[in-house]
Amino acid sequence: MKRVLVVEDEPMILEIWQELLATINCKVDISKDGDDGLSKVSSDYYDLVITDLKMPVKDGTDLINHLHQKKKKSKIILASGFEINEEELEELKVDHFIQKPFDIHQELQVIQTFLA
Amino acid sequence: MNNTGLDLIEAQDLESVYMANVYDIVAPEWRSQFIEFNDMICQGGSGTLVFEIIGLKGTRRWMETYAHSFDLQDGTIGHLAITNDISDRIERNRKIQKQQEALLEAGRLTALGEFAGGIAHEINNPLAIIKAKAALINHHLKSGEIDETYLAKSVSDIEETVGRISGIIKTLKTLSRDSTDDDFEVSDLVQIIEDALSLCQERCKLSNIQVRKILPEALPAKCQKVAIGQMIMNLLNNSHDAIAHQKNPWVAIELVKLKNKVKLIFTDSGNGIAEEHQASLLNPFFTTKAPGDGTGLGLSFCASVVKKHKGQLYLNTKSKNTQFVVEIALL
Repeated sequence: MKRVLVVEDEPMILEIWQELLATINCKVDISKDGDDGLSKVSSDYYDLVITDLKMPVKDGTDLINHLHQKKKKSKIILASGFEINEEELEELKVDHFIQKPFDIHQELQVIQTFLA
Repeated sequence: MNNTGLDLIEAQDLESVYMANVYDIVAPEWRSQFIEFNDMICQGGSGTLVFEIIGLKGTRRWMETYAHSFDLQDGTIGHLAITNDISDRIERNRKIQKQQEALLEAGRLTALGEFAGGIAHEINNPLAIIKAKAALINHHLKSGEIDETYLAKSVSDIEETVGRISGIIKTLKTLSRDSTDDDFEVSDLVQIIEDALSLCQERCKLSNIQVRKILPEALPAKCQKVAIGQMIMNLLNNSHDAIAHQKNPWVAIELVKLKNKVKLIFTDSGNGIAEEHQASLLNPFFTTKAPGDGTGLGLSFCASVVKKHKGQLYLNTKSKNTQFVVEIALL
């Protein structure tokens, strides 16, 4: 079964991700901050990491950079309420960007293609 | 009276104003002061009076009279008066005042503009919750597999989240309006600080700035609460810009009650202000930020708010870190 990690400091959004991902065939882990997310990706392999950008302790950038540095093959989705321009996205080298608020059906489809 | 004088009062010639009473051309609202001034000079005094006249054709002009009395040899009192038309000067001053007011207005909104990005994020997150929860309810309704507990929880989550957004908008609306002429009312300074912080925290979060609060439970004071909130945002904004690049940036806001005043202490992880900049800090347009990054109006706006509250704003040069102190009298 494919494994997904969701890193998000907003409890209700975390809850929504869990509910959404429960509808597709995958195993979901959650982290409430970047620090916890970082230790999870260090000890486990995830097929997909969905992360918020700005979080307490360590933020999404740290997590994304770590994944690149360690040459992890995980697909990365960045989800943020901040508008991020093309240049910044290119620099972060993420596979997909979700601008909050987002369409759950549309994003679920993208996630499914990543996990296929 | 010479020709210039006749022009001023809009008289055609000397004959047309022969035996006319000078009091008649003094604007009614200045007349009693003018008479009083005249009496004072006739009794041996001297002084200056600024007043308005209305010419025979109705034009208003600002005049300034310097009058001096002196004892004549025959024991009577004589006096010498010079009157100048100062309408241009008054008009210029009025323009300057208007520009200064416009500057303060710009200063008031600067900080808010800087925090706008953070505010957008602050709203986009709850919007994401509402949108997704509503879509999920819809999805469950369509599939016919919805249970009441789930529905009740989702609806109350949505309600709570809408409340969060209206709270932000309310604060935003309050903190963006013109506060110059607000009444002084008893308000809780702690609440004012919390409200201003609620708008700034997202931007601080974005730059990983830790915000420390050392606040009493409540501290009511007679003040213009919106202006105070705007001042706090400006000070926070300055701190943010100065320390955002640091490794572990922090800002501390402390509120202390003294005998007849309150002290608001803003400290950040910066290393103080360069000595050569200290004297100019409160001047309008003074900025050390790059062009486009700062207007240089923030601190001068803060100074004007503090002045209105009969307090003072100063840089505490004895502090190891950058520390601004605002003292406000407890009225």
